[in-house]
Amino acid sequence: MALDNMGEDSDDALIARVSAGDTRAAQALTLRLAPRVYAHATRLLGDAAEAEDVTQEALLKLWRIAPDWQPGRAQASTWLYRVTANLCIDRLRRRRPAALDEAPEPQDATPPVTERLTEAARARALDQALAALPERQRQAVVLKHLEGLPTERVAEIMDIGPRAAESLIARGKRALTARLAGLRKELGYDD
Amino acid sequence: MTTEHRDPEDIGPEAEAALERYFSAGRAHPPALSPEMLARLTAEAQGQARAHGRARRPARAGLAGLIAALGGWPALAGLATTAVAGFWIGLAPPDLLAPSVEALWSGDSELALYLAPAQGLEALDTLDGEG
Repeated sequence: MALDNMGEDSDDALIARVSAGDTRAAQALTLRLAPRVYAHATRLLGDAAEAEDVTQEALLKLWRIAPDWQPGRAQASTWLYRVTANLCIDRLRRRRPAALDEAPEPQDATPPVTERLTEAARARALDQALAALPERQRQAVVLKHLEGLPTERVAEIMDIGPRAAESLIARGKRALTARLAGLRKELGYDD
Repeated sequence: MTTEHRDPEDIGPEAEAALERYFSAGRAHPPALSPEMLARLTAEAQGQARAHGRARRPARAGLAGLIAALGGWPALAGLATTAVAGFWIGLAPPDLLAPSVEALWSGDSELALYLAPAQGLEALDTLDGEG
């Protein structure tokens, strides 16, 4: 079966086939899930190399539990977001404690004063601002506004109630707004 | 007098719109996995799938191996026919069974010892004579 034909297969169906030894299902599921896991890990960690390690670790956990996977019990993506976040939080906590809530210094050269933010530059600025948020707020904002998940799923992934998730998202957005305003001044952007 | 309640965490519509432009840019430019890393992850996933496949195979090979050891499906069909025939003979033994076998079957093993197997044929002669 061509990989394109597996696009409509559910994650559950592909996991069952992986556990039966189907290497094409393993390939299709990797292509489907790995980019999402990596993007999530990068946004939580702010470090591409560490995010690659986390992606590898999270997917390996999925392959190992594939034979025991119970279809319909949990969405594979929900399970993976949770595993990814836990791996990231472990790594963040192993870093020096003072670094947890520190905003990293902007790495790019300061652009010309008159330059308006391009889409890519705006995305980079957002990543910098996200890195300054406390980890739970960052996780909630990333899941809701960058992964595009409904609040109920954010709550499920974070193992909290919907109201607590809403509160984390709102506080995160407030902090982001302040941080981005600061960054715009700092970097000389005019929007 | 009514006072308008505003959630202290609410950032207001303008800030919401401004922030949404950043989120939209972030969604349009997600951190991307390198093709090399994706290839490595795929190879690892396929290796794990193959390992799961190998772990499953012995259970199936056990039944297939047993059938093969008996001579395959045709032999298995022959074996089943023989078993059914044996069972049927057990339930309804043929009338012309040699007396020695019949004696053994009915539990009179002592009598069976004294009857020569050929005696069944004599019995046939007797029957013929009577007929």
